[in-house]
Amino acid sequence: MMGVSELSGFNFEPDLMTQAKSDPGVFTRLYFRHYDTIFRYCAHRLFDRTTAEDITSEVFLSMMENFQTFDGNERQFRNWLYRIATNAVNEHLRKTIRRSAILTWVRQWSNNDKTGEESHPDESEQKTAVVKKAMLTLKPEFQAIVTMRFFENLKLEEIAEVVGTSAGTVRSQLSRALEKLRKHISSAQLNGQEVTI
Amino acid sequence: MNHDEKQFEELLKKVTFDDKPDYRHRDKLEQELLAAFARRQWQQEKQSRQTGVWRAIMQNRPMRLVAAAAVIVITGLVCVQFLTGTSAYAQVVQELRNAQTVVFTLITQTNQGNSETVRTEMAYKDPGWLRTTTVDGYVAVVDGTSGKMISIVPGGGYTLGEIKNLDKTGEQGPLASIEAMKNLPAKADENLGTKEIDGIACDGYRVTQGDLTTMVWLDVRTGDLVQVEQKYTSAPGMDRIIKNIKFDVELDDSLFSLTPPAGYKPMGVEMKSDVAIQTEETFVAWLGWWANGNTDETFPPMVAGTEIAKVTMDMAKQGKLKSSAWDKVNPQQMFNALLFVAKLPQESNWRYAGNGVKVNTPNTPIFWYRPAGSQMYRVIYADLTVREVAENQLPK
Repeated sequence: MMGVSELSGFNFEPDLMTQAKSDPGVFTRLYFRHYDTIFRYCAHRLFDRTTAEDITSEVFLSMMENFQTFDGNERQFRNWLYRIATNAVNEHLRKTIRRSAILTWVRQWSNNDKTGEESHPDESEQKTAVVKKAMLTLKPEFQAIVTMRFFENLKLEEIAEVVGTSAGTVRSQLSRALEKLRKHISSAQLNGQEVTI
Repeated sequence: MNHDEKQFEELLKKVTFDDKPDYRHRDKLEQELLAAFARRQWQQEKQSRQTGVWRAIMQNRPMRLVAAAAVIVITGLVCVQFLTGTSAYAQVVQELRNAQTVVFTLITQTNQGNSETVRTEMAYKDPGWLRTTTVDGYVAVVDGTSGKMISIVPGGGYTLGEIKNLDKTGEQGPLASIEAMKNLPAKADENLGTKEIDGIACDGYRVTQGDLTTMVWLDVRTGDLVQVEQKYTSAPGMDRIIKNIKFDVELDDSLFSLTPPAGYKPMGVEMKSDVAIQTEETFVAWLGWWANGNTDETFPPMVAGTEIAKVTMDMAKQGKLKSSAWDKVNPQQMFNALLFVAKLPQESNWRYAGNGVKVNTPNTPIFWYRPAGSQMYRVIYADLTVREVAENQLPK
């Protein structure tokens, strides 16, 4: 049976959580161990560095509110952070106009590229823009699952723990999300962008 | 993984995202979290009226080091050289000379791993009072006339200290720094042209004094001092930026009080030192503690106050200090070691070359200086031996 410390290639430290509650030095180490993970998750969800940093701050400050009463190991702590981050990003995407602004930007970029009036991005940039656009058309909940699975390399069981459902449900939602992504990316291909999936 | 998943994964391998963390944000957030952590602990202590938080913290090894580092922030003052730099320039120099008070922000870029920037708010008031405040709330106050000082730590702790013979510190001593600031040469060596800083068009001037090169930038329109940049030959990778500079602002004497704030508690360490008696042995012992105590087994990136404190704290947070090192943390030793460097005069031509050098690397000099009255140099090697060497045999 797989041990906790072997999950997702992350070495979780036993006893860290208990010590971190009373020791600022250990608490800081815990924070350092998880900052990059949460920032990257936010960046992969939002495609915007500044917003990702804002949400990352929100996540950790929110965590701080309930840290003393959190009762779990470091793996559960990481999943808790993912859960706070997922809720914060979803809330942000629902409230803000940034999502439409990003889509407009992607659309403008695509149009400019097609008319050839602007600079010609390389193949990687083209693929990036298409993936961003396709991801942002997904429902936030689906987007979260795709990001955790493919960007953060979490296992289905871990995603299920974060989003509070079963691994089977995650698999089903992932399948539906990928189907939607396939359609959007195929549509981009039909519009002349060389992207295959 | 099914077919769709494999295809999507393949696609993602070909795309790029701007997802590299910016450690300035990480460090800023860390400070906010630590402040919240300290507030929470303080509230808990008040509520429970149990054993003082600081007693608990001082029983904790990592925090002992943090506390020590906070104390060493005081010696960060040894780094505050504010040397130099046409008519607008000369006017600024005159203002500096006549200023009764000066406040500014000191930004140090250590360029060491994640410890990219140290930002400290500085305030000076005649006849020789200094107050420094770091972004995470550590405050140090020094009365340069008596050598007495206090270090105040966020969350309710403080440490008192005293440096005897403060006037014996060299060009990097706190009082000498202020004197240097007030004795800027009336003429700059070179006009650097114009550049924009924070949206303000500025004229630049360069002044070189000893191993310090200073660039002074003045507002083209008003002639006001906007920014000062410093680079040290003896401390590469430790560039400093001084900005938000204001002269003769009202500074209440209470800002420079050496009385601990109400409700704050002593942290159990008291720094007492005499500049006159700090020796090379203390400095070598501290270099050894550092190099043998970190997981890379390398010497510190620099040998100056504020920066080394910040780097030490960051290494502790990242788990890069060996557990055996915690037991040997000696704030007084660190304090004395840094004072040894602080008191070396410019004529000693001291240089530090230990950044990244592994301890016990054979035949590798990491620090050298010329003692007063001597023709020979004392060279400290990476194996912590010390030899006397003629000037023509020094590393280039």
